[in-house]
Amino acid sequence: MKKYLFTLLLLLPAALTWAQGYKPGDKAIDFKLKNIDGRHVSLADYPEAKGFIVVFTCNHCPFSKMYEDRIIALDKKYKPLGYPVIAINPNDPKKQPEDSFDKMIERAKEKGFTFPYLFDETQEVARTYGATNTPHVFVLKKEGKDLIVSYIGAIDDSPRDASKASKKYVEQAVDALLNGKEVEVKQAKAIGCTIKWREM
Amino acid sequence: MKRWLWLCLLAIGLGLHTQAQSVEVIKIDRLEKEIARREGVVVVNFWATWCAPCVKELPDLYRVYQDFQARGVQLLLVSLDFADEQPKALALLKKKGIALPTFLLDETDYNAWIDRIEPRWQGAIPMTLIYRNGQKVAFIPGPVSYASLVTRIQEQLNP
Repeated sequence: MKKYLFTLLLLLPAALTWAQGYKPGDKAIDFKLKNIDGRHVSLADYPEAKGFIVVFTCNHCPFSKMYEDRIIALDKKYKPLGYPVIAINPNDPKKQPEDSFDKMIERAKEKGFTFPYLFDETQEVARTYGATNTPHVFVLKKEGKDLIVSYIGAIDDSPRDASKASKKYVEQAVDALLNGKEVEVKQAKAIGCTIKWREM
Repeated sequence: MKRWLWLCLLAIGLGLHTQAQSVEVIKIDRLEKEIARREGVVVVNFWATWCAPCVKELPDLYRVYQDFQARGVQLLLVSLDFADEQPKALALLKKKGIALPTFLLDETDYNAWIDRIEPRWQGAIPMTLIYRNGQKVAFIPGPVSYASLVTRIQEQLNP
């Protein structure tokens, strides 16, 4: 009985973070996840970065596909300025075989990804961050040793046609951070695919 | 007299059979009105033709509706396909044998309306809401099954 209680107590904070996820202003955790090149990547590997554009995305989701070119463009524009893109696939490949590690490698090659594309096999990072959709962006700003969640949500307001976007949420957030200003829109929602959670 | 009765029955019968699928393209104001004006238990499901788990659960949603229709349960399917893909949504409903008038919500500035529908919703589909007499009583993000939905509906029918 005591043992169960102990396990429950251990699980409680995890369950709470899972239900909540991050809000703007929260401190985000670093992680160490397997990249498509076989190496493990963590945010600590980028000491020169000012922050990160963390994108939960995947291979199969039509909304993710619509945004792939824009994610590459974000990396090309902001990596030299200190905000590289870190893409993470959180989906359980048993539920969605198109999102397997091998298919991630294929998709990254096809599209010419310029950023790491990591596999969140245990789904712990997605749960901790509170990612629910693909694509789902978390802009993190480095403050000393901390990573501060500065924006959560959509890339822009025009999924199908990048040229028609009138609100480029992620760009506006990163531009504000680079100029030492407050991010105006800290959260913006969009339609997307549900993350394919494992059966527990 | 008898003849009239027969005609009436025939008309009713035809009426029931001709309730066919339709996908009306609407805006958010209209959707809110459609939800508010319905009495009884209303299941509102957001789906799209490109969303595999959405398409997979459509027959279950429809079966729940058919089984509980007599007790006043209504089903409101809301497609989030782009407006020019309305024919695709209609074809899919036809293929699945879902004979219902449904909607396609033509609002692609998602951040402008998602919170109006449900603040806890992050925008991933499928997503299902249950209303009773215009009041929201359940928010179900992610897929639903026939059994889980029946449980939720029974909670509302026999509180």
